[in-house]
Amino acid sequence: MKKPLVEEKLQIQPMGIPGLDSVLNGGLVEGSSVILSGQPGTGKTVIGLQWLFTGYTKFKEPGVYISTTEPIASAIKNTRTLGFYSQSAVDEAGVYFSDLEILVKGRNLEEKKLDSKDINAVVQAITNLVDKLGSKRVVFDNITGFLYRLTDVATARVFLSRLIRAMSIRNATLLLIAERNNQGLSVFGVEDSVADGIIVLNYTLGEQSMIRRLNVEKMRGVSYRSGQVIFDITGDGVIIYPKIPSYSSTFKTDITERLSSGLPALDKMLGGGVPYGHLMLISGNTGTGKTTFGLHFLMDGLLKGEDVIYLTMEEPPEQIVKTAAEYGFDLEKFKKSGQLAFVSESLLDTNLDKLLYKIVNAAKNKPDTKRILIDSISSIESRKIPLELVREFLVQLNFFLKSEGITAYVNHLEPSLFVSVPPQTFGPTSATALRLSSLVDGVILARYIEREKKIINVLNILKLRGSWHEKEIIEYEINKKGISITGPLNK
Amino acid sequence: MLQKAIKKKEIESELQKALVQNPRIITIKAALRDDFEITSRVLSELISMGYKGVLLSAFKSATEFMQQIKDRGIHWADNIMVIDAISVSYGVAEKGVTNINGVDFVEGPFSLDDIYKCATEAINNIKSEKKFLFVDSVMAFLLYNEEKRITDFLSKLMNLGEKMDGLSVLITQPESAYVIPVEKIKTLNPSIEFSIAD
Repeated sequence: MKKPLVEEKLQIQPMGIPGLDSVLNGGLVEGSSVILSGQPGTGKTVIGLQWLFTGYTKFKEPGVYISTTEPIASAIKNTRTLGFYSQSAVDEAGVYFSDLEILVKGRNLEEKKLDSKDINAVVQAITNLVDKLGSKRVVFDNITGFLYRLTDVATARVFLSRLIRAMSIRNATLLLIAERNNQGLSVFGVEDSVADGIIVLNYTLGEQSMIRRLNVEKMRGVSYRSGQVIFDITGDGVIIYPKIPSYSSTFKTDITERLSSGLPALDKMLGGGVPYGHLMLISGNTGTGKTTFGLHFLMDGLLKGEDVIYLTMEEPPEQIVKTAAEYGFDLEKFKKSGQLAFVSESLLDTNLDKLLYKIVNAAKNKPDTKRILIDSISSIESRKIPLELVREFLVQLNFFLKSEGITAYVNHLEPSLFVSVPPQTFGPTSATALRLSSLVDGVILARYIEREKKIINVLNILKLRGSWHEKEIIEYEINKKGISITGPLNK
Repeated sequence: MLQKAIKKKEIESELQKALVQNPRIITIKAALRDDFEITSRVLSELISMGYKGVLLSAFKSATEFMQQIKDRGIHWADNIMVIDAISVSYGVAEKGVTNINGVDFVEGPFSLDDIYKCATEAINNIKSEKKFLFVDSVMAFLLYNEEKRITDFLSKLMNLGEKMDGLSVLITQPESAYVIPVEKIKTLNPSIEFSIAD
């Protein structure tokens, strides 16, 4: 029987870079050629090297790094400091570094423009190397610098086509590292058209750090998530924060199952506790005890052996542990045991995709996570992030938490809830510009009122989706043991 | 030819036994991941047994070998001359500029004529009744050269071993996707072939 001209199923080769395989819906097509381009300093070489090292250490796929510009010794030296570097991978030639000039020996590539004979020698030399090492991953760093040395654009096209074809028939995936001009276009105009895929990197300056972005512009034969995603270069290499897809799986919410708020009186007001999988908004002015309500909620879970997450946007975890200790909540113990995971994010250069990724990652690392405290959504809202993006973030987070069966407390600062002028008892309770009330399942309002030269803390439950709840306004106080609910408001 | 499968821990003792018979050519086959360790151990053992010789290195630099041997408590001194075919191409040494006692830097593993010239000069200058010429490794040279060139190059080195009294030629052949089968090298007729397993 004749072999089909085109194999029916494309083999997907995971890149092994956190988050990038999610963006690519699994990885790169085996034997494909991909242009990885961007301005200098965007992290192209780091991604290329991480792909090679992870390819060998995780998937036992040998790879080769071909340098056209940087001496091999400095490429290795710069990589040694990164977490993915593996000396045994280098010793075993699982990641092999090669200088193109050495590879095509004696042709003095540095000194002259290269013609068609030279490019044949280059393709032949790379092909020999790949054959001898059995390479499945090849990084050519960098193609733009090399193409500048060819006599004309037509030669560049021929070179690229031959190299891509030579790698493709060997099922070796080729990553061509390239530069972009100021208009964001490839320098020669031919690179993008001959490659199977294009990944573009760029960056903008944040207030405190460089904000790096990655965009998959093209990937033949496979689907991928379009749109820019944020990434960081850390000591362990590149981490990409893909957008979390809207979860369509069945929600695990159940109003018949309740989690204690950690405050029996509040549980009674909620008809037995916080419904499982619900997102409860605790809205109130500064000093109304929003964080303390959250601490009661988390501590109740921790004492029952549950895993919990504390997302802090305003204070470092150490400060929160210290504050909690003043109420007698020993968070340090649970942090050490791993039951309590803190997720924190920079105050200045907050990115919501990154934040969401961190939350999802923390929850995935502890599949038994039952509760999360988000402290607070207002700190995200107050940054230079469009409200619509904050809302989108909350929608995605809500879907994720519900599909994982995680019950959430979301703190929200509402300054307009502070009033002190009788006869108006309370300030406005309207939803904010974020239209939070439609996103959350329940709303607890914590407020101040002034009575007889005293400030009194009161709370009421404004909403509890699908469930009965107490309508009465209740007084509470914040003391050394945290929140203490004292009873109905005495008019 | 004596083909011997040995364990890694037996390298030193087997090498001692083999060298008593004054073999001309020894080939050492091992997993690629073990190449550096095995070459260092063989070199250390040769020095301990009073051998002097030349190392042709195309996979690890001379300084890496020096450090490795030193870590084993073996005095390097003037017992080994290294023809380092990797440091210049990696950008850690400059041909004709970098000066390390006991090391000759050549441009790259492709400079086979240079390597051969340096090796013959070095081996002729060694005053010892027990000499060695160590090629590390066939695979490393193959990455930068056509198979035919390597076959000729190795054949010439083998001839040296045949002609020169008291000279043993050692060649490492890491097992990888691509190595020349020993039989393909015309004049290569190893006295002993060690296949090393864990």
